[in-house]
Amino acid sequence: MKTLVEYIVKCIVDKKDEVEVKSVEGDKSIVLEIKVAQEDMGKVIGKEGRTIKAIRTLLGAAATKIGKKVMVELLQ
Amino acid sequence: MMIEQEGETVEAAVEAALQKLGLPKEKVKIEIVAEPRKGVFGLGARPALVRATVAEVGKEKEPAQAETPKAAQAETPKAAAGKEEEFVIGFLDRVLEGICLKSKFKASAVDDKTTRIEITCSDSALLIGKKGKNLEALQYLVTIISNKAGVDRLRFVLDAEGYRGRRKESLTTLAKKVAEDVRKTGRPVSLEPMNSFERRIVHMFLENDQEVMTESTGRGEDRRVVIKPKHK
Repeated sequence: MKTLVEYIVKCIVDKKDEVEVKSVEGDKSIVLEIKVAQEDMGKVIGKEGRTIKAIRTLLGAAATKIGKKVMVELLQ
Repeated sequence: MMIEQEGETVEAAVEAALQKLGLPKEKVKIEIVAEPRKGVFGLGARPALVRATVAEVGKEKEPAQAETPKAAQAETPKAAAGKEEEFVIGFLDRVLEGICLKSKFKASAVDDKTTRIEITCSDSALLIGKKGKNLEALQYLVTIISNKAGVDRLRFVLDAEGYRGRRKESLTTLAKKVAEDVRKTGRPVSLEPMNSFERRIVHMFLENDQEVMTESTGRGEDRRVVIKPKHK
């Protein structure tokens, strides 16, 4: 999960080196915290939040495959 | 003058090459460079490749010269398309692998700017998602990354198990039914929110209708088609 979200985010941003993903895993859920360069925030969020929504949707699909819930947070 | 053309099948590639050259089959020499191959899990898959050579029998120099820059132009976007296609398929492969889906990809050119990528995978229901939302999400990300990486504005349309075709069918059925209701009642009916591709299908379908017209209202995710009676 962590590698997946990291890969997707790195494909979207300009400053790939500044992408950091922290994964906090519980029994039933996984929280993925994404940190990117300030100027890349808009890219990851997208117009009306469409990009982050698409990322959440795909991660949600990945999570059902392993029977967990996933939360994707973008940190300031 | 010689061009190379890819296609889903040898026939498709030949057809596309002839169209690019704008010449009948008799005037072109066709060589099959590579037969299409399906590959394993998207690896080693490749389209058919044909080489079309224009037979220049007794031609004056002028048209030949005119053709040269055209050929150069035709080849640059094609090379870019190949690279982009590879890039997009690489992206899809990694993302779907991350979701634990074993997938195969088959790319085919729809027109100059559109490439259709058919995904075959171990769990198509999950890939497509409820009301196609997973496939749409993937489609959206592909559009973003291909625009970011691309030289030319190429479009990639993802499809899985003929989902797009089925969706088109059900949308036209719905449009037909709702248009009938509108005709009877004379009242406008608004459909549920849809993305631009889907709205387009409805608009196109009812475009030439004598009694009803279509219009999109709402913003962003909430944009929907309204079918209403034509005012005379």
